Order: sequence, then C-alpha cells, then structure tokens
Amino acid sequence: MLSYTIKRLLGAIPTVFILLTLTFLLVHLAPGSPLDSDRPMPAQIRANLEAKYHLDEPLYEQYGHYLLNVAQFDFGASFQYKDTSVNDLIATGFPVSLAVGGFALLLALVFGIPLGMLAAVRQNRFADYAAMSGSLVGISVPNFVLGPLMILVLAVYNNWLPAGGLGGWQNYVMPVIALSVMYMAYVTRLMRASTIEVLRSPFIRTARAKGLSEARVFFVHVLPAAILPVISFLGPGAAAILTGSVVVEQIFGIPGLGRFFVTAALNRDYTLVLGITLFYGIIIIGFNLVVDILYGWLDPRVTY
Amino acid sequence: MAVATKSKSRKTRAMAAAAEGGNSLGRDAWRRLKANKAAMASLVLLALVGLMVLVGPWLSPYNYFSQDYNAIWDAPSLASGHFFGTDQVGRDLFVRTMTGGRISLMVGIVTTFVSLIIGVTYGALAGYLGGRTDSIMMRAVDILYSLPFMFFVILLVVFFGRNLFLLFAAIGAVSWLDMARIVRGQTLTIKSQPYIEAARMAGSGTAKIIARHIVPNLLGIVVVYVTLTIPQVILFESFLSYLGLGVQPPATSWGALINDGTSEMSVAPWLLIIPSIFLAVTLFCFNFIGDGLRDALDPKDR
Amino acid sequence: MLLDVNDLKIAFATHTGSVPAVNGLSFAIERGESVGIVGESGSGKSQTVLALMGLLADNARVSGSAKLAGEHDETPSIELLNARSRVLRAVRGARIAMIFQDPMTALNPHLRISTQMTELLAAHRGMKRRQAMDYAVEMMEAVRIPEAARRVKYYPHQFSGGMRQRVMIAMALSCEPELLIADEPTTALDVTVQDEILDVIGDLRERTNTALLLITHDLGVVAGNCSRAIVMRGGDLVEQGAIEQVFESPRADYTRNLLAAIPRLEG
Repeated sequence: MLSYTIKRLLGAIPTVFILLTLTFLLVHLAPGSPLDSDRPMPAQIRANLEAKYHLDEPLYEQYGHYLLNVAQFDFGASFQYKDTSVNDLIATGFPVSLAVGGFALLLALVFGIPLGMLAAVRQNRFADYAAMSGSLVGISVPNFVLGPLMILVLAVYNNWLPAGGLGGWQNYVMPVIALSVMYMAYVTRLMRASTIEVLRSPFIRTARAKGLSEARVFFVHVLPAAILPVISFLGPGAAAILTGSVVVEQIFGIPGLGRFFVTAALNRDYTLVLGITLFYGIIIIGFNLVVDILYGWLDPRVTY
Repeated sequence: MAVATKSKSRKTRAMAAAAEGGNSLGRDAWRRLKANKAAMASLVLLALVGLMVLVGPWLSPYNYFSQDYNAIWDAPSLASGHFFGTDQVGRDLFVRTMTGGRISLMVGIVTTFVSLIIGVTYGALAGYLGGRTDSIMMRAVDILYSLPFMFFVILLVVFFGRNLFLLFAAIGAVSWLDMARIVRGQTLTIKSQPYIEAARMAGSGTAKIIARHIVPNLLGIVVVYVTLTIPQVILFESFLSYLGLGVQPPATSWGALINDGTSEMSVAPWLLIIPSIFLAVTLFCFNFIGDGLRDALDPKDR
Repeated sequence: MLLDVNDLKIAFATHTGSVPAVNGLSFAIERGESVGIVGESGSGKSQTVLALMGLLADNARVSGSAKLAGEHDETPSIELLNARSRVLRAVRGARIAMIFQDPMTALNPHLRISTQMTELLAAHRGMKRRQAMDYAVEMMEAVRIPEAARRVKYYPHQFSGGMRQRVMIAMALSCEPELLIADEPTTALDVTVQDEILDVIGDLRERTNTALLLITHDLGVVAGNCSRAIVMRGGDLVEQGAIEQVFESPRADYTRNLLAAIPRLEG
C-alpha cells in the first residue's frame, strides 16, 4: 500500500510537469502581452515592467525561472492585481470555491446514492421511472440555466434568498444546488446501474440463500460492491465540479478562484492564469490519487 | 447549417441501415428502440427542434442582427410577429434562438465527428495492437485525463481568438478521450473472440481485420456514444459562450443567448427562459435517445 | 418424510406471455436420504430447487405445494411455496442450505470468508463473534482446508475454485441443516477435484444426518452419491425411483437414451 502510494506520487510528477509546460507555452506563445492596454505606455515604464516580470528575457530563461519558483510553491506576482502575489489570491479565492464545490459534491452523493439504490430496488416501477426521468432532466439542465432561473424565482420574484455575493449561509444555497444537480443526476444513474448489476450477481443469491435479513443483504453484501463505480467517478467528478464552479461563481458573483481565473484570462494576467491552472491541476491529480487509494482499500481484489 | 442537416441525415441513415441491414442484432435493437416510447418521443421532438432551427428564420419577417429601438423588451406576441419577444436592443428573439440553435447544433455535430474520428482510430489501434504500444497510448490518455481541460480550452480561446474553427478543434481535442477509452475496451473484447483468430488464420492482415471485423462490431457502442457525446459538446459550447468566450456577436448560440438573458432577466424573463428551454429540451432528447439506444443494443439492463 | 413436493408448477411471465418451466412435479425426500435430480439444461431442475428456497426471479409464478416437516415431531409442517419472507428466512441456511454451481461467483468478493461464515452463524444460531469465528475455523477444517485458522481471514479470490467450493460446503453445513441442496456442485470444477468435493459432502452428511438433493446432468454423479433418482425433461417428470431400478430397468425411453449416452471404457 505504502509503496503503491509512493509509486503513484512519483508517477504524478511527470503529469504535473507536462501540465506546467503546456500551460506555460500556451500562455507565452499567445499573441499579445499582459502589458498591452488601451492607453499607450511610455517606453521606459514598459521596459521597467518587463524587467520586473522577466518578460525581457528569452523564453527558456523565463521558463527556468518559473520552474524554480514553482518548485518552491511561489507562483509569482499578479499582473492585474498590483502588489498582490498569486499565492495570496489563491489563498483568498480557494476556500470560497472549496466550500461551494465541496458542499455540491457532498449534496450530490448524499442524494444521488440513495436515489440510485431506490431506483435499482424498484426497477421498472414508478420510483425507478421517476428517479430516472428526474436524473435525465438533471443532466440536461446546465448550471448556467438552473442558476439564473433560481435567481429569477427565488431572489427576483420572491425575496427568499440573496441573488449573489457572499454573506451568510443563505448565499451558498443557490450556488451549491446549481452546481450539484448535474452530478447528483450522474451519481444516481451510476448507482442505479451498478446496484442492478450487483443485485443480479450470484453472490447475492447466496446471501439470500443463507437466510440473512434483507437489510443485511443490502447493506453488507450489495452496497460495498455497488458503490465502487461511484468512488471511481469521484476523481473526474471533482474535477468537473471545480471547473463547473467557474461559471457558477460568475453567475452568483462569488469571489472564488473560478471567477479570478476568468478575469485573469480575459486580462492576460499570465502569472495568475498559470498559477490557478497549475493549482487546480495539482488538486485534481492529488484527488485522483486519493480516490485510487480509497478504491484499492475498498475493493480487496485490487492488488498493488 | 448545411453541415448540420447533412450529418444528421447521415446519422439517421446509418441507424436505418443498421436496422434494416441483414444483421439481426441491428434489427432487434431497432425494434426495441421503437418500443421505447420515451426515446421515440425524444426522436420526434428533436426532429421538430431541428426543423424549427432550419426553417424558422424564414418564417419571420425579422433577422437576427437588426436592432430596433422602437421595440425594446417587447414581450412575446403573435400580433407583432415577435413570437418570442425582443431583447434590450430590439432584436427578435425568435430568429435569434433559431440561428443560435443552428450554431449550437452544428458545433455539437461537427465536433462530435472530430472526436469520433480521433477517438475511434486511437482506441481501436491501442486495443488491437495491445501490449506495450497499448499501455503507452493509454498512459498518454490517462495523463491527458488528469489535466484540467476546461481551463486549457478557456485559455486557448482567450489567447488565440474566438472563432468557430478553434472552438471545434479545442472541444474536439478534449472529448475524444472517452471515446478512445471505450473503443479500446470494446476492441480488446472483440479481439479475443474466436472469429478474429479464424480470420488471422485465414491470412487476413491487420488493416483488413480492423476494417472488416473490429470496426463493424464497434458500431453499436459508437452510435450510442455519439448520441451521448453530442449533448456534452453542445453543453460545453454553451458553457464557453455563456462566459462570453464562445461564439462572438453578432453571431449567437444558445449559450450566448442565455448569457444575454441572465443580465436582462428581471425586466425581460423570456430572454432567459426561451433559449434555456430550447437548450435543455435538446440535451434532454439526445440523452434520452442515447439511453434508449444503449438499452436497445444491450437489453440486459431492462 | 422431510420434504413433500406436490404438483409443483413454475411459469415465467414475459412480454410475449407465460413461459412454463416446470409442469406439475411431485416428489418426496426422507430425513437423511439422498436424492438426485437428473436432466439436461432447461429441464427445470434448477428452477425446482430455487422455488423451494423462494429464490426465483420476480416474474416467476409458482403453484402447488412443498411441505417441509416441522423440526420436531410435534411441530406442524411449513409450506415453502409462496411463503412470507420471514418464514423463508428462518428456513434458508438453517434448515435447508444450498450450494451453487460456480464457486468463483457464489461467494461475495468484497467480504472476508470469516464475515461470510460468521454472519450465518450469528443469524441462525445467535453466536457471538468469537464463538462463531472458532466454529467457522472448525467447519473449514472439517472440509479439509489446510491452515484454516489463517485462511479464514482470506478473501474469496485468494482461494482456488475447489477450495472455494469447500468453503461453500463448510458454510452451508455450518448450521447443520436438515436438507442440503447442491446445484451442480462439481460442474465448474476440474475433474480431479470433483470427487474430493463429493467425498467431503458425503462425510459431513453422515455426521449430521443431512438429507441431500443433488442437481446434476451427470448420471455418474447420481449413481455414486444418491439412493434415489428423479429424471426430468422439458419441465416434466420422466421417471423416479430407487437408483438401481432407474439404472438397471429404466421405464422411460428418455432415461434409456441418457444411460446409453454414458461413455464406457469397455464399450
């Protein structure tokens, strides 16, 4: 187990490296410069700024610098927010994104898993059709449709919830739901399919033939096997929730990392864009690693 | 828009061919699909949306870009000819929704086609060649999977200009990964079937085996996956357009219209609601048909 | 009389109508007796025993009666067909146990053998953890699994097919059931292992006086292990009788054909 973890950690290094190089090249090879603006800038000031951000150096030297800094977890200074480091911006934005994304993922699991199980147990009956149709609707209503519609009904027409910004818990309700619904639907469908498959397997017949209670059959024999596909979905699911939060933060005006990213991209804030992409990349890679280890721990057939 | 019709009819024809062709699995599947009322209803509804999007703009006296400051925020009405109302600069929402739909559907179909070509070729090769080649090819897919792709696509369109072609390329480059994985898995299964061994014994070369035996047997799963990829791509495009990074004015797409609608929703809610309905209904239909196809081809689930 | 089956009929409801699987089967099993049901695939032999256990698919329609004698002479008999799940649960595993054809898939791959064995003892004999564990090891030793004390902590995939079937037998007989149903218990195993498995079943049965209902398509297995045989075909009873009678003077043509199909060295 430990050796597997170490092996996977080492295996993640080239992935992070590729991520870093690709993003760096993409950002630096793009036409235009972060110092471009509507007003012409005196040559001297421009030269000073270029020197400050190492833009006057050849590309490979900039790359070397950046690599060295990132190795020390220093993502540099932001172009757009003067005198603020990317590290600081990530430190302010990420907790907000994490709260929204984390609650959305939790909500998706807490509702999706039982709904999927219910649909599987009541296969081809009313509860199944209802859950399946509902989840297809959930998959077909994107967060940028659901979000504004919720604002319209719950904030504009009825003053029940705040339309945006961050204050108390009320501010989290709509963003979390908007972000969660699609993944809840995915989890429901996944859980239904795997539960149906497990219910059909011979070892469940054995468990019934042993005279165990239905509750024991379901929770001890069916559930651990049926939940595995949901566990492996957590990796890509978490990644999708992080990216989904980009648009949800935009809709609800939440000062999270996703919103920083969009404005940074639009303003060609090289360092902030690079920093956020890299940071999210590392989080996704790390989360996948945790999920794989969790999977191995839950499925005894996996050997390291 | 011409592309949209063409690939659409190609898909229908392929489905019909699979259904009527000598192969009984296809005919069986088609019969099961026809019995699936929800999927058939979705097919009809989708055809209706497609038809509206195609001929809709000709049914209206307005066009999608002309502004009319005498008709700002007009509510939907049959009398004025603004069936879906107008936006903040008096553009007709009906025509805009239809032309936006053309773009959304075209992006969905063309991009899925791109990802289909890349994904099937890559997956079938990896699965068929197997061994070291396979593990290297799949390792590459794994690495690509763990990259935060959405961010790349956003960077790509921000930095290299926002044109439709780049959009196809960027989304296509992302969405072939799933296809490659699924096709590879299926190829591995097919490869171990005795009839492949028999073909090899009979002296068929690799290319011939892939073309004659592997690809036709992949058809089912690929058709299912295509119907499920199209809505994902449409969603992806709408997502980018919603952020203002996709289709650029005066052209529009459902995502862009929903974005416009969001900022106007308190005064003109129809600007948000109508394009949202079109997008959601289209996604819903594609998903339902894909689900129905999967059940039809693999009936053990129902 | 331990089990008395009368006019058992099974049909499956499908989209295209009702498909019959068993058309009125009657037989009985005495305490401690061993009975073989022989038939080709689709003869309804597996559906018959699944009906007794109440384990048929949801779309199965069952009629007739199958009475299981009371545990003591004074307790009334129990109707197994269409019984309430509470009644069935008390019978399954405790009074009628079952082992299945494919030991590779019949054990839960996600649970340790110890869990799968002790949960049964806890459910029917109210044993505490420690006690159940000791007993499970004892049962594994009885089916001749080497190093049972260590291996009881294994997961199924750590055992070979033959060993897994032994585990299944140990589990099935751990509550000393009155009837053991074995559905093709050796079909999925290597020929060399088959006899050992049948020996193990035989040994344990003797100790506990358990009756055996053996389902197989292999007449040789019936001849070696049963005192009575029931021959089925296409859901119908072909004939039943003492093993010598069925083998030496079969009444039905079908049985004669089956017997003629057994390969013999001397030809």
